[in-house]
Amino acid sequence: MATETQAPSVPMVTLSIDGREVQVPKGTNVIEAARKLGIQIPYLCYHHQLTPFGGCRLCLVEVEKVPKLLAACNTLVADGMVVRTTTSKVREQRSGALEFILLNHPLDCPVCDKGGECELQDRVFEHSNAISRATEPKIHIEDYDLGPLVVRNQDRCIICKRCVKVMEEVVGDPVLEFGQRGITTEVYTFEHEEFRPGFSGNTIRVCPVGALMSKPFRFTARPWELQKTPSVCSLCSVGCNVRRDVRENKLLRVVGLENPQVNDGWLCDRGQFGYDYVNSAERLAAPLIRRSKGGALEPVSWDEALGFVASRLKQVKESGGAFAALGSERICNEDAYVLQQFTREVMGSAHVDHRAGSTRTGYQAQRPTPGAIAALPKADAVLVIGSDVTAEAPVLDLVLKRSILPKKSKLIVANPRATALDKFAAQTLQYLPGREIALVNALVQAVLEEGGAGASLAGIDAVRQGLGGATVAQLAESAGATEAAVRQAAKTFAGAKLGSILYGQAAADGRDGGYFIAALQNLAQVAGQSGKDGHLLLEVVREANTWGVRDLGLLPDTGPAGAPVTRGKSTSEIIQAAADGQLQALYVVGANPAVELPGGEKVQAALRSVPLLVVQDLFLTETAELADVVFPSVDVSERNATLTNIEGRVQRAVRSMDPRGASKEDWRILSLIAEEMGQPLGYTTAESVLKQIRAAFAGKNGQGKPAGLQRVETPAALGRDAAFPLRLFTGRLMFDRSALQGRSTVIPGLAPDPFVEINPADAQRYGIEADSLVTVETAVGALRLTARVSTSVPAGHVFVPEGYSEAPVSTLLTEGASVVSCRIAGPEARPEARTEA
Amino acid sequence: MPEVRILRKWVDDPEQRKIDVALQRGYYTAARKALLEMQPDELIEMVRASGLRGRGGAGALTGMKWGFMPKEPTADRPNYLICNADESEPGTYNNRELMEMDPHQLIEGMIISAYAMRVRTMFIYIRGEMVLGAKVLADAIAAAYARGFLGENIFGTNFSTDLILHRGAGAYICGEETALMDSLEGLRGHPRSKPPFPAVQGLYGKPTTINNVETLCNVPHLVNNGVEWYRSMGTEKSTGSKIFSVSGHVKRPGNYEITMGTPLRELVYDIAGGIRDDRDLKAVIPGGSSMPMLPKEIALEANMDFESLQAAGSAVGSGGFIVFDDTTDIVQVCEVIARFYKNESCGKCVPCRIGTDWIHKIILRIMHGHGRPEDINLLRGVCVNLAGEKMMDSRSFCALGDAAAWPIIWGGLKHFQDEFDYWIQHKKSPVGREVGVPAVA
Repeated sequence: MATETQAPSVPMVTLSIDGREVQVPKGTNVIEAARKLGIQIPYLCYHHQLTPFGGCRLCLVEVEKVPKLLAACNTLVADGMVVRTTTSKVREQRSGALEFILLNHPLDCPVCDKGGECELQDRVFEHSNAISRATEPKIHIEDYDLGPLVVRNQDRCIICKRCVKVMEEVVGDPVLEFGQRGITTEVYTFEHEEFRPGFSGNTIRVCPVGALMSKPFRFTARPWELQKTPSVCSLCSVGCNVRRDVRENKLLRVVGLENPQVNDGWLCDRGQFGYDYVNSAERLAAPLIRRSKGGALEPVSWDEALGFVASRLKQVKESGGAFAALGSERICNEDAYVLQQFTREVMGSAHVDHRAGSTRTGYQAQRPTPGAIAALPKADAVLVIGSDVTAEAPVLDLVLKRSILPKKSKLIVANPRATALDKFAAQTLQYLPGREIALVNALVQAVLEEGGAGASLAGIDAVRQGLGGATVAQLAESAGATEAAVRQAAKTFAGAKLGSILYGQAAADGRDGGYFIAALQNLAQVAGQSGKDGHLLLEVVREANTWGVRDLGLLPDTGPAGAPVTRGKSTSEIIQAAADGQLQALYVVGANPAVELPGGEKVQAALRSVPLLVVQDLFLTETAELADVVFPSVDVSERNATLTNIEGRVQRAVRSMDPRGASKEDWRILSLIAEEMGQPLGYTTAESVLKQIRAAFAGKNGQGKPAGLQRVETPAALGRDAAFPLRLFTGRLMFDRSALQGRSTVIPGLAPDPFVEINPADAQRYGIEADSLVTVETAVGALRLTARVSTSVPAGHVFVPEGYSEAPVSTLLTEGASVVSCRIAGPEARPEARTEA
Repeated sequence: MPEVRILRKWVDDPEQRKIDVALQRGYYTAARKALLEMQPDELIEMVRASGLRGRGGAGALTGMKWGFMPKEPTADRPNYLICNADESEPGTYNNRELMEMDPHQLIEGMIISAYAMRVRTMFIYIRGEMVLGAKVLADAIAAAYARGFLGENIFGTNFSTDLILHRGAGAYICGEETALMDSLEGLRGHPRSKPPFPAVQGLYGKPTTINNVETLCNVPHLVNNGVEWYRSMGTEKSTGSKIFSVSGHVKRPGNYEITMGTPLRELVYDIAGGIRDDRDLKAVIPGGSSMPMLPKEIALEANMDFESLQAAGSAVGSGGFIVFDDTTDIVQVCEVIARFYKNESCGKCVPCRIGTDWIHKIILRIMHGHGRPEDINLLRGVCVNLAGEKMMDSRSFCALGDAAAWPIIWGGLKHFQDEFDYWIQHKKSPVGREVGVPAVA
């Protein structure tokens, strides 16, 4: 495939195409060799990211000494090969093949979405005499509903198999296949079942004609009316390169762009179909002010709102009152930088954070470097631990499959709950929620027992002390895994030529997160993997700019580029201060602590009690509803900004449409307030902020030193509580109803209703019936959820997804705990008329 | 030259299916001799020297094909042998008889071939509709296992080989060797790109040889009687005997084994008893429906061997020998042939998927009285788009496209254009068929 960088050792082949010599690596096909010379051999079924098919016969060329025409897609170059691509025989063949293809093609280009960007249309204009001798009636094949995302129009299909191959070779979920044969061949889902959402939208990008189309985009615009801007997706941490297509200031379509370092053109359905929250009528268009506590929020002018906030903040500052700011992992680098600058320099406060409960320190040591995504498929063993990659960073799932599907690497999935990657894994290693450290320690002990160089590393004594003489069996049992599984995984990982680790942010953010990471570092070192070229110990971070806000010092203990700062309050300390009446002003940018922070009601009460609560957001969130002033901010698609992705790559988001109403970028709002307060920051454009950021990073690579071996003790398991006999853990889904995607047109419908997943053994024990409405209760709160009975969760545990503002799981959680004790009550009959968002 | 009985020696005796009877008649002596007394390469050389050519249709030299197989297969990269028993070419039924009536001849041939090519696992891919053949073969394979002729340490040697019988699911395309391998692997039967050729990357990506039933049945006789004997039959480049399945307007249709090079005239008039009711011969399809038909004058001058039939403008093909007398409507013959290939096109490539359908639609339109003078050129043009301007200039992915176009452009249109013209002008056939009389659906 063209995306793979050729190793320098690949021998070169010299051939001649249309009388010109070209040198290409052995194994290149004639189409790509010709492309290198700027010669375009036409094709419809070939796609440079997929294996060749050879069906369209448009790429047939003459090769000297071969009597037949050869398909350039299927023909590999050979030394001395003489290829001719423009002879009359070749041209007649192209024209003939196109005449055939058009025979049953409906030629409904005027109403076809693809018209204007259709490969068939273009090839016909280039290579056909466009006069058909056909008089026979066209064949028609009835269509059926493929589901909410993709529409099939079989009559337009030219049987190129690209869509089938994408699902087979890229996604590894071969749900599409040819049905029937001969002239009635069709692309269909087996038994006409629904085309399951997940990665289905990728078939639309590769379809050369209008046979597979986006249901949400269909009939909304002609391609030439669209204003197309290359940018990055912001719906997860991967930072997929996309093109945003806008018409009349509405974002109508997102198309994957081929950046082999990141997504290589592939997208998940969340990114491809979740974009249109920006068009939502619920977007804030003007600043809002609550003139008195208890009053309503009223729209006001920018001048009034800015003046109001500036004078109130000035008062706070002059009276020596406490000010704190909360950002989020979703805000852009420019916003994060200015927010911390505003807090530290303008307000003179040390209290700034972005984290939802975590108290981790020393992020720099784990900061990845750009290139990590491309390096991931080079590992022949990958351990995923504590992450549902497909849900959290979907396209990373496809990156893994680049090596898993061709069986070049073995995947070990260690997660408390079943994940979509399990069926591709060489081994799954289920453990109990919250027992990550026990599991990693078990793996470390197993690797040490296997022998190898690990046992003689400097500092191994500290590791052994941490393990405390426990056996693999004891540690495995403590993790809720089996000894055999642990030993097998340890053997695979330690025996790999290159082993990499992906770990989940949730586990790393937990109370013992620092130890978890240290344990993983121990594992990578004793297994002899750390230090190898291409080795990764990569955190699967959850949001579009998680690394950006860490880099830029939106943290109470670190400034931009790791600069030392006076230690301020963390998120939970800020909320506590608010609850204690010690906070005079709280400034929230892009975060929604009212439903995102553990504690629920308590957090909301704390927010309500702050004398001045200012919120900047796209929507009137649960937090904004509590605010005294709300500023409408601008989406990533409406501005120039930078985002730092999962591998630490800083990518530019480019303004693809005008901002909604009178909304402004987060950094600009802060900058205007500072100016109003008489302390101008001097920013006029995103570029001017970026310049300042560059200056802050000058001479620093932002990298910490990898830690050596460390002592990591296995923490004790959560004690059993008779009143709350079950343990609750949480996680993300690919489709949920969270802040942004939850306000798009199609994603809320793809997301399941908020649910609690319970093991069949527990369901029986507590009399829970599948699909019944139950109440899940912890010491701090309760939620009513639909019960799902599944072996995907271990016995004694229940899973509740994050990302539902209608049922925020945060209300059940307590600070710093990844697992909490709970009980489940019910069942009650599910009411007939249940209203859903 | 009269009919010979080498491969067909025992096909009239149902008792021959029994392994005991076959053993009494000298079966498995060739396999024993090969395994105990001969080296694998010696066998490959023997097949090469015999000049045996594949009987499935393409006529490739069997010994050469065998020679491409790796000499030292490993456990990770074994060699496979597949017997292509997906005989589906209209007019062809010689493999069927060989399998239904004399299964041990095929099994013995496969054991020897497997030994020669160092094959640990063999397959017979039998056409799904051949229920009797599959049953007979299954019984025969079980009997051969029971005697130790298949399985571990055959005849007490170090050589072990297994034979797996697999039934197809009813698609002509699966007789194409690479589509057959896809089907055998459980995939949709679509032809694969060549190169890589099966001997390099075949079944499950491993080196594979695919031979026709009749080809493999030749092997025991060759081992028993030697190269000299084999070459004594036939011509310089077409050696041995060949079974032709004679059908159509002859007095005695049936399978006939003749030595290569036997005059076509003899096959029709002497061996098959001549034309029914002593009518006049109109045309002959010598090698299955995909090979162009030859009109009487050319046919009666041709001999039944690869070179002579090729010179006459047709081919030995699969050995399906179809005879038409002077009552035959050639346009209807073309319609039936076109309909078959349209139905059997796998749909993978554009020329075949669409060309076969278009050819059929044009002929059908002519036969419904809507023919236009320009349809002759149109039909030719569609055939050229599908299979090129001459034979072996195919544009389709596999040979099915050629198979569909050749009988029309190099058969019907080449020799009997006047009949198409007549249909277009008079809306009926020169032999009296009227418009609107539907062809058999």
